[in-house]
Amino acid sequence: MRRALSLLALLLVGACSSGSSEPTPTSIASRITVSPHVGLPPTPVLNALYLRMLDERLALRHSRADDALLYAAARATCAGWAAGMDFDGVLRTLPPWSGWQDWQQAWLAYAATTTYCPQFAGRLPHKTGRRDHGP
Amino acid sequence: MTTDEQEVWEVVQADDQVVLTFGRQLGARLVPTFLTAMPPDVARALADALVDFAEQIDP
Repeated sequence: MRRALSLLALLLVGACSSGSSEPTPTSIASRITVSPHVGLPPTPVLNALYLRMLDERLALRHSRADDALLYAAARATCAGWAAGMDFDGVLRTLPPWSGWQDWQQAWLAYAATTTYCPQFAGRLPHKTGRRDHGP
Repeated sequence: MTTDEQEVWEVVQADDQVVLTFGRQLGARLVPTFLTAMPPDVARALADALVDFAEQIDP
């Protein structure tokens, strides 16, 4: 997983630098093929990153880029929500003991209770593995 | 996900945005499961965060 994340970071930086002088409207920088058994689904990985940004924001240690990332994350979450992205399904793929469900649900709760996408408040998915939160 | 499917992370530079897509490779087709677009400075911040996060989960 660490190697895949590091490679993804390199691709992101590469995409930033390759676009400045490239006149074509769209170009594929690269693709990473990840083993289905890599262990952690990609969406929770991103959500964990978003929550890390949120922590830094609350601690007043965030930079402008962190703020922009948080906004982009919320916007992407709202777009996924509006497009019918199956967040309940995403949650069901996560082991309840891993902590990923808490991260995912916390992020969605944050997005729903801010001005980013308040229309989704009350539609939060349910965690699994606990009797009081079962589907 | 079946054994014939591959999980794919794709980075695309489109105009002034960097588009990151997570999906599944079905033959020659990429079926997105998550997609987000961001300006280059945000993509660089995400890259830094990814490296930090990778070190946290797998020191």
